[in-house]
Amino acid sequence: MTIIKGSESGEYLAPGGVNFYKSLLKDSYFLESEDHEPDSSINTFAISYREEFFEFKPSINVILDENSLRKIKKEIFLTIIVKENISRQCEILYEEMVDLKENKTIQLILEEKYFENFTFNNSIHLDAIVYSKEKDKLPTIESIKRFTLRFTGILGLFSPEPRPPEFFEIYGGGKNSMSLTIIEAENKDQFTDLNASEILKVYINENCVREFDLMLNQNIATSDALSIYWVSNIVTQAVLKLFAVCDKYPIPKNSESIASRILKFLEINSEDEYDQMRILIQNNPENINIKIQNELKLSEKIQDFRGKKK
Amino acid sequence: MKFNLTKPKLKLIADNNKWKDQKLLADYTEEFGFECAIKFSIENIFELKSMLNEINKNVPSNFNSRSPGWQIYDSKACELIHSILKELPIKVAISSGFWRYLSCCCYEYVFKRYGYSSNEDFKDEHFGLIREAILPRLWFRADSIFKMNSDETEGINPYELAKLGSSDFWSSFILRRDFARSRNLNRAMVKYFFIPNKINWILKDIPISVTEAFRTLGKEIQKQHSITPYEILSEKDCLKLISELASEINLIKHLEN
Repeated sequence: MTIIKGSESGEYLAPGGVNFYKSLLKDSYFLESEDHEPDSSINTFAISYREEFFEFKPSINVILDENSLRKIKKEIFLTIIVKENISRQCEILYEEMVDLKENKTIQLILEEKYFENFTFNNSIHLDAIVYSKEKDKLPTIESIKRFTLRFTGILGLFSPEPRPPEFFEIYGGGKNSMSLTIIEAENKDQFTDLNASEILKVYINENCVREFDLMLNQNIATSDALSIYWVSNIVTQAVLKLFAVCDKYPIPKNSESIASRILKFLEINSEDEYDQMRILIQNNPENINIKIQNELKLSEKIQDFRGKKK
Repeated sequence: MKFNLTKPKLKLIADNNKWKDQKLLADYTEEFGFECAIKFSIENIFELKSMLNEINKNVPSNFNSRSPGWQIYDSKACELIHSILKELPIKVAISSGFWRYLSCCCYEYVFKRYGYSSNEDFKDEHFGLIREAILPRLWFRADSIFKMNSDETEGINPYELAKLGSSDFWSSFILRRDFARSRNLNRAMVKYFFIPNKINWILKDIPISVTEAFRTLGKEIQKQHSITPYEILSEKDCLKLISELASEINLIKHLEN
């Protein structure tokens, strides 16, 4: 058996020795609604309303690249698997041998019944996988394309969960509080090993969740700025907690952990860079806030504003 | 029914050392804030509490949280928690509030498991952190390999495999791993490392412990996920894969006579 190293991150990872890993499924696409135009370059979709998601007949459309197919001299199979990390649930939606002579688009409309065991609290991955399987051998992935459906998840760090107004009173706020961030981690390993979505919780008042979502999704500068301001506030809290708990450079063991996502976001790649940032934050926590605003291009978004001039 | 305990309310209970006050716990407990069909009752929770306390009675008094002897008690507790809460909806299972409530209700077991000597040792993360705090960890451990009754499983204790292996194995190579979505792989890993009971492990001609064996091979299993879709493999194929990966790194499993 040939061992080909790699790791699962959802991105294209081309392990040495496997041909067509990138090309075979490159033209495949996901449609949120049957009315939408296909765009195979989009892999991540922000889904605002889980309740309405299935009404518009979302579909995964698999197209196999002709040039790659011509070079394949063995039996290949297509499988479509839907996965949810937070609940560790998965369902195989499709699994068939590929007819190399009759290459046609395979469309699979997502139905609610496939997702009965899913929580929709965070991201759901839809993986289209082409694999080969030789006699008496185990399947080998020849190509994979992942579509990520983020159910109001932001930056992959968190996904706001609606809660009744009374919930915010318990935490010392009131019925008019809008959102609450809680980081359920107290030691270094939890920041490096666990998925961010498991320990970073953002709750939003259900009285205004729909309206707030509409405000954030108006595709105008005001909306973008509001969104960034809110996100930067939450990310700032996560960053401050990370640097408070981890006095030494935390080496992420899980690509979906808070440490992994924040270090990547802040472009921190070494112990020295981590220490420098930590000193900066200790001197003035506001330093991290302005850095996050910069990374999220807050000022640039505000510059796009075209309101009435007084 | 209310089974959701928030972090501040848990802190209030801890700060005032009100662990024994079940009425206060009931008063502090909230709705989840989402709709969900709950198929267990408060009586089930009290039954669980009482049975966990029975387990506690047999735990040696000098045990701390890292004592290796916990394995047999964790096994029993694991079977117990999942068998009583078998139909826990997954949406509730990933709610910290539920585990905070349950852990607060069954605080005696949590205190004992983390080696608390007094209320001062209290840490919120021991109560509500999903897959990490002891009660959710044990529930997810059983759930990750659980198979509903079928012809294939008739006459077999569905928790037989969940009861094997150390806490370190479950946390590091199953509960924290995304590939643990594949129940067949999880079951195969437990079978490979812990059946039969006595195995001599040899890595590149050097005898090693079972912990070293799963730490070494576990990394290979994780890497392999990028080229092998574990989700479509049968349990038998998963076992074959694990054996092949072991042979690639010269890890030999010798069964004791």
